[in-house]
Amino acid sequence: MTDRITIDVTVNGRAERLTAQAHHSLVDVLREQLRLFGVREGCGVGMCGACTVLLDGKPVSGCLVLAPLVDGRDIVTVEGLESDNGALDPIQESFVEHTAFQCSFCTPGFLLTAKTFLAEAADVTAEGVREHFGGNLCRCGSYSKIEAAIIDAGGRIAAATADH
Amino acid sequence: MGQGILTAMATLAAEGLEMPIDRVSVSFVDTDITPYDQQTSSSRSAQAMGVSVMGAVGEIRQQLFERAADLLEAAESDLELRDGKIQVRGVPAKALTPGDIVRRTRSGNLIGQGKFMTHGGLDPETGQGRATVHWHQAAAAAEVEVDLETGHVRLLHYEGAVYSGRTINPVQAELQTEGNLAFGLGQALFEEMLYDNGQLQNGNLGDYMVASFEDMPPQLGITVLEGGPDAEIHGIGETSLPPVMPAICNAIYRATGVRIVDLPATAEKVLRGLREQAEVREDAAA
Repeated sequence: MTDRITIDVTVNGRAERLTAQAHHSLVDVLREQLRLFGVREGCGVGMCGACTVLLDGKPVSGCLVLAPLVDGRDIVTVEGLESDNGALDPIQESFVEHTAFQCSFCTPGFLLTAKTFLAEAADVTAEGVREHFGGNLCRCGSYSKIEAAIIDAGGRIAAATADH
Repeated sequence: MGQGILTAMATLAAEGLEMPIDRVSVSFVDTDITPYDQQTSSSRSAQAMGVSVMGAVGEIRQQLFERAADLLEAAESDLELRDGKIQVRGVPAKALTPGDIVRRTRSGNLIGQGKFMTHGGLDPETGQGRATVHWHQAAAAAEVEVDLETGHVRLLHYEGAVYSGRTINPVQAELQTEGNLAFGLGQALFEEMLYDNGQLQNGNLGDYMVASFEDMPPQLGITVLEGGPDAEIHGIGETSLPPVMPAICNAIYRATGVRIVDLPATAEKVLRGLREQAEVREDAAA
């Protein structure tokens, strides 16, 4: 049980080789070995969404994923949302413009969940946002600006896709 | 901590010398070197620290003017701050930046100090006197829906207002007020610390219910009432929180006649209240 397991995984577009013990979570290895501090632990039991990462494109709670299970897979954290030249993702820009945060501890979780939500949702409504993001807690209570930022980002993404 | 006090301090300092805010840096607290402070409390960081920062910047401004008067060979009264420089009024060519002034006079550092002090207090024997230097004002209105079968309460519409005086950062003030709703709504309806023999049983976000997106009311209005440009800096961090819980519980009473006297207003308490009302009606009819 104390043996270290080697994990080969793509993180934010880069191939990484990590090691972990069988009981380590994805949050542990991403923070400690890759110093990706955008992955935060709020509850450790998959309820708060602060540890959200994209695993093969789907948002998961990193605290519920055992690190050895991501061998060979693809992970995106909030650090991977901006483009190589440093340009922010439209969702990030929208959050900045709406000041959709206070302490910003929950923000990475919201951004990553929004990434797939906006890529898949045909129609982004206030009710739809509320329902979809019930698993991302914001203790500072920035919900209404977060809702506005997500809806606005949805409009921009839809417009950009329509232009192509 | 998220209330934006560092930004507020930087804004005030920048305004005092008409500099762009990115020229201001605010040091972080380091317990090794930062002077001891009692606490950050009473929703008065912006007021107490803000007024002190303005005083300190005022001293620096005065020191800059004195030195500039010398360098520019003008009377202090003929100088003005314009576009981040100290300039002889009406003569744009005779202007110096604060950096120029400090370097050319070999001043090293200019240090300003500001103070904010209050007076008053209550007589320990009579309880009379001056309890505070100013009061904080907020109001709340809530519309709820109560399921009479389950006792479950849903907040449908909330309007909150708070007086913010001279508002340094209006967006931040809105965010704090909205945050107070989320905080108060939880306290009113489902937040509870449960103890068993002195041991906290629900100390994890998984067990301690905080407001999620789905708990927020579909209709929400927040009004931050700003004072005019001469208004004083006013605290708002906590102000809009206390009215939230009474507004919700008063709405529950208006809807059902059930008086909630201890929080949270759980479904069980509401149902218990409804049952007691039914028993009273039955007894009266019998």
